[in-house]
Amino acid sequence: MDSAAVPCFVPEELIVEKAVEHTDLAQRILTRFADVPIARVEDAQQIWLQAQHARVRHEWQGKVLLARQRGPFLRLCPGTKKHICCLYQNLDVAAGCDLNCTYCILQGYLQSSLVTWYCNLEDLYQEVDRELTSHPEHFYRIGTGELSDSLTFDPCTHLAVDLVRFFRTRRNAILELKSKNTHVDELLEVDHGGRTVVSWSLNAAPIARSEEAAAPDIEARLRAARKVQEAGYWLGFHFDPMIDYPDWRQGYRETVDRLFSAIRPEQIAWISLGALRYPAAMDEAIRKNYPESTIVLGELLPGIDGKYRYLKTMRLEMFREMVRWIRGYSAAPVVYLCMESDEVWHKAFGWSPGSSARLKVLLDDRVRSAPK
Amino acid sequence: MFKREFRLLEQQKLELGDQQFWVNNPLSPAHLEPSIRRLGLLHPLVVRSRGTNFQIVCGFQRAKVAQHISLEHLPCFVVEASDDWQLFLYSLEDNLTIRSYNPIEISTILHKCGAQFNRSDQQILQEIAPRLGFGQNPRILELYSPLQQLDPRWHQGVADGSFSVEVASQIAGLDQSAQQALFAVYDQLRPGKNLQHELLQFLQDCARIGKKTIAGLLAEGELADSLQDDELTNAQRLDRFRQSLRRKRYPRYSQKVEDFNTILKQTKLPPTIQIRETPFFERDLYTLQFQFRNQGEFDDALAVLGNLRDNRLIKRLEELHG
Repeated sequence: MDSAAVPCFVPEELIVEKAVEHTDLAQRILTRFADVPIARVEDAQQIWLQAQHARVRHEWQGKVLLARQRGPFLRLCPGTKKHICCLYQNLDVAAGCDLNCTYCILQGYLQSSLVTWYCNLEDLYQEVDRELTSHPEHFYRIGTGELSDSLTFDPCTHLAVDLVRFFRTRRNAILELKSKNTHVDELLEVDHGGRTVVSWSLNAAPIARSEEAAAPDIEARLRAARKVQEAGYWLGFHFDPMIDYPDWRQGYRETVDRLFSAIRPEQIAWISLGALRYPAAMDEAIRKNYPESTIVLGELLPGIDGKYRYLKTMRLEMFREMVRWIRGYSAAPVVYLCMESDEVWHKAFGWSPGSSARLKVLLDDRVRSAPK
Repeated sequence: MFKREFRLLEQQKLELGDQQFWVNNPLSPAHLEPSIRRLGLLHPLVVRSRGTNFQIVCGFQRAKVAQHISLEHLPCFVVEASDDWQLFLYSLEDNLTIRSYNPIEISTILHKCGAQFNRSDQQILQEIAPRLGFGQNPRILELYSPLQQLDPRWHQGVADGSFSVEVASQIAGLDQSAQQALFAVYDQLRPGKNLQHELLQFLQDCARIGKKTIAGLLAEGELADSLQDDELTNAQRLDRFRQSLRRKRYPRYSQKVEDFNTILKQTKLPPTIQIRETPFFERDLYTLQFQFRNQGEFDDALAVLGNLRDNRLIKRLEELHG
């Protein structure tokens, strides 16, 4: 879908937990969507429970719950056992997404399309501030793109700008806004201090069309990235999940070519690569939610962490080609693998960070200072 | 509770063709016949007056046997009730006092609730599902309702427990030719329930990958051959069918397994020495195991292993990992 054709998300119904109704974020949203039906609930838990029992995933499509985040906002990414992970911190400002990508891992966590926006932002800022100031020696890469897309709801919440401002002066942290959407205009006006990476998930164009059908197309994402680059931000790109299909070489090569014809490599902080993988239970969810999708027809086999992955030799082939194409353009960005073993790193790249901690250092060092 | 009156009714006055309250499957009450012949009907039927005849509410199978053995009079409770839904619930409870329902009967009950008594899904979940032992879990509707679409041969197999309810429910969503082709395979090979699921999943996937129908897929190549090979026992046929299907579903992985086995075969290792790969070749690690009973066998094994260094075995195994 082209960016011009991507409408901003508009909730069909707002469900407000009373405890957050008077927060700044809730008021901002309620004012913005004054004509949208509103229901008030004492306890958001009852809505989450109802949504968990949805018979059809799309039953709750368009409904947004404004709720209080019960647990911590900041969580270490669980990664996956016996693999090298990047020790990322997730900042859960929302749960759910309107882009409905067929492979989305959220299907494994959330039984319905209900979207939750956590509105107790004062708690969020206090919590992050406390964490960053109490461990000044530790560097944090913090992202909002784990349980949602970092930018897709921004025209409703305007949260990205708030977060960019919050991180602007933090010396031991960097914020990553990870998205497939193109709502970047507000970011262009903000003083970000080089403390935010705006990153896009990219894929081969035919895969983007079939499996990310509600998201802006690759060209639109790269146009948005170019605007953000001109505003001096660090950029990131995530080729994840890479999907095996007959013309994958051509498809991914073309996207790499487009990326480097649109973006200056020096400003790219990192490019991650990850092949399609999911827990066994996700297979059933994808088949049920997206019966037309062919991604489940790939040769996916259980790996040592129990997740289904392509045969190792297939993944190696994909990663080797990608690194070759990327390095053909630039040695600047850190290129890394998401959730792969030391062995796969060695075979695909000819070297390995050896541990999650060393990969973290590599990525941290890349963004300790603002992009040149 | 309905007002009811005990009467001995003429068998001919019972409307066996009226199946408004019937949910039994299969309707083959042969098991009741010896008892009824010997002792008569121990439990009266429940019927409702309809003009000069009587509509059966509970006891279809008993009435069927009575007709078969020409029993002239049957003990019945005649109920006065105009509320069909309440009578249907009564008949459900009556059956539940003596047995549980099989999956096809559950499917029929759910179907009748909606189609005949206009109950919404929500009402079915609240009023019926708990009576059938499912709490208010909506899964009962997803799983059991589709079974109505299957033909009587499938019904028989599901009712007697030969076929998995989950698998049958999925098959019910397929077209008639697929249902028939799959029945022929499952009826012939008699796979266990876990394997039924695997075979169905692989067949559906292979059909989508090859852009073929399931019936078309089953009629060609290795799959058809394995079903038609009269030299094999049924267990061998099932194994061959399954292996053929796995090769079709995972061609690259199957090729790797074949390459691995070929390398080992060419190496001509004695049966006391074994080399194993990690599951799905995910790690570039092999396990070597050898057995010995005495010094002589131990020395022999070491000699064989020493020779392996010269015949490129290790190199070839390494290459399998890319």
